[in-house]
Amino acid sequence: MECKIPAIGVAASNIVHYAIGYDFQYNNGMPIRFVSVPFPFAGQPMSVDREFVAGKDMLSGKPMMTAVVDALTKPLTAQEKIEGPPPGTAPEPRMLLADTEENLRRLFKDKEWTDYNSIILPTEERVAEMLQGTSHKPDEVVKTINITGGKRQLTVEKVAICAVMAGAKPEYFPMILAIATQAPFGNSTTSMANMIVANGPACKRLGMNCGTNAMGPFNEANAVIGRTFTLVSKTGGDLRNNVVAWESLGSTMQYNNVCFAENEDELPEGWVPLHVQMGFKPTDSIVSVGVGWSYISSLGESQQPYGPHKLMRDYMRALSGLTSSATIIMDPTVATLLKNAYGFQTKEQLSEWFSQNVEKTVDSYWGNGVITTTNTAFALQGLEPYATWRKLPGDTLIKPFDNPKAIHVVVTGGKIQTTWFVTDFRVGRGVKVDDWA
Amino acid sequence: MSGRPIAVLNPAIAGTLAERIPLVPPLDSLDGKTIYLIDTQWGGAESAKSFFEAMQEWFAKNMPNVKTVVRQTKTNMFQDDPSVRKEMIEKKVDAAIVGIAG
Repeated sequence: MECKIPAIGVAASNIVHYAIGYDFQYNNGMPIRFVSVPFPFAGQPMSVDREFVAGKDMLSGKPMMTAVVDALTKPLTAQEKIEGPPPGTAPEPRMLLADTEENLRRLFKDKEWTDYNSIILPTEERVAEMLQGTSHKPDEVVKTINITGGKRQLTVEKVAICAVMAGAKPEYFPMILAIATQAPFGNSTTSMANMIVANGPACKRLGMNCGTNAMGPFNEANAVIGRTFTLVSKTGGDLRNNVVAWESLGSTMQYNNVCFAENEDELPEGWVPLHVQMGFKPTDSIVSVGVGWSYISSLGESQQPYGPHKLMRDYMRALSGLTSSATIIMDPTVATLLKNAYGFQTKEQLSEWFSQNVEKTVDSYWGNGVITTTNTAFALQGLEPYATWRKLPGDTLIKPFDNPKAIHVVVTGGKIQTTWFVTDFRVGRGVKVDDWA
Repeated sequence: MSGRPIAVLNPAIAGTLAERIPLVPPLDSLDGKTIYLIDTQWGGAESAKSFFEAMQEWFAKNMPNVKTVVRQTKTNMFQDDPSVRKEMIEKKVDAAIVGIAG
């Protein structure tokens, strides 16, 4: 059902150049006429909106409404009449022109293919060695990445190139390929980031750390596997700063994507590993990739009578509650304490308790821009609980984590301190590592 | 560091350009036309509403022969709302202003 009438877009100055440039070129193919207002525009009073309307179009510099009238009435240019398949894009050559190591390092940085930490240059020999880590053919497509347009074919060989650059060993490669199926990492105007949780026998086989400093820079496999996801995301997603990568603040979590293994040996009896909760066998090796923004740490020893679950609940009030998602990461000592002293016999019981006990006000809930942007539409469509929550007085307490199955609990760490993290990461369905062996 | 040239593989992946879709021819003038101002709820239900109302005020004052109607989609900014398009077809709307992305 097409209207076939002239239409123009209004975009704020933070994003309009992406809209008329990259998005047009790789995504929608229609040279939409835009006018542009200053950013931020959301939440501005009517007086400011009147100023925007009376002011200038940020793109053309004309008075805003002159630009609007022109955009709806000016004859089409030759460019605006072009129809059909685009001219073929020149494929990227498989090999770069041979050059000195110094020049190549500079090229990789200039092209934004690295995270600006030192890389190992992907010579043919090194990439071939990496490919020995899998039975999959180099030209097999792991994923077609189209997050911002472009339909880029991420092949096994392209992932191997990034794995070499990051310093990976061939034995890491099946896990890296499994993670690459989830590429690229989060890319938003907000500080979106990712989390990679590894489970199953591959973790020990690869020497991943799930003990002391599991979350820190103290283990080769955790560090390098997580880093590879960054390089795969940047190259495969063409994520270049201010071209396609738009996070206003960015996130330091994107350096290694919170990559760690669950400490399955130290789970209290009755608490099962994350991948088993998802329905996989304990003997399956699984990587689960999460998307989120927030990561809040506890401080000091757990106290009586205000147990760790109550502090976690308090911290969870700061999370958005988007899709009811949270991931709580805790040391094995905390898990044992929660079971033995507070009666949580399973992870599921703890998730249910959070679902029932984390409350925040309606104003705080809707005050989050991502919640408002995504869930207001659900409310307008009459979908509950959003429709009710939208009508309630602002100071009413609601329980935003209404789906306990979206609240994950992961146990890791070295039993040195009763510490934990509360995060808003939404963990996706796990991927089998051995499928990529 | 050796100055000897070395050959390395290229990590970049060529993107596929989008198929070109031409614009619909514009109007000769806005006189007597109906324009829908469509709020896609980018940033929430209140985000663009007052901007479009301010734009509507401007048309009423400066181009009174132009009829403007503000419509808010019932979907979020990433989703299509066919009901708005259906309404525009039924009411023979002449043009649309859509936004605000940001």
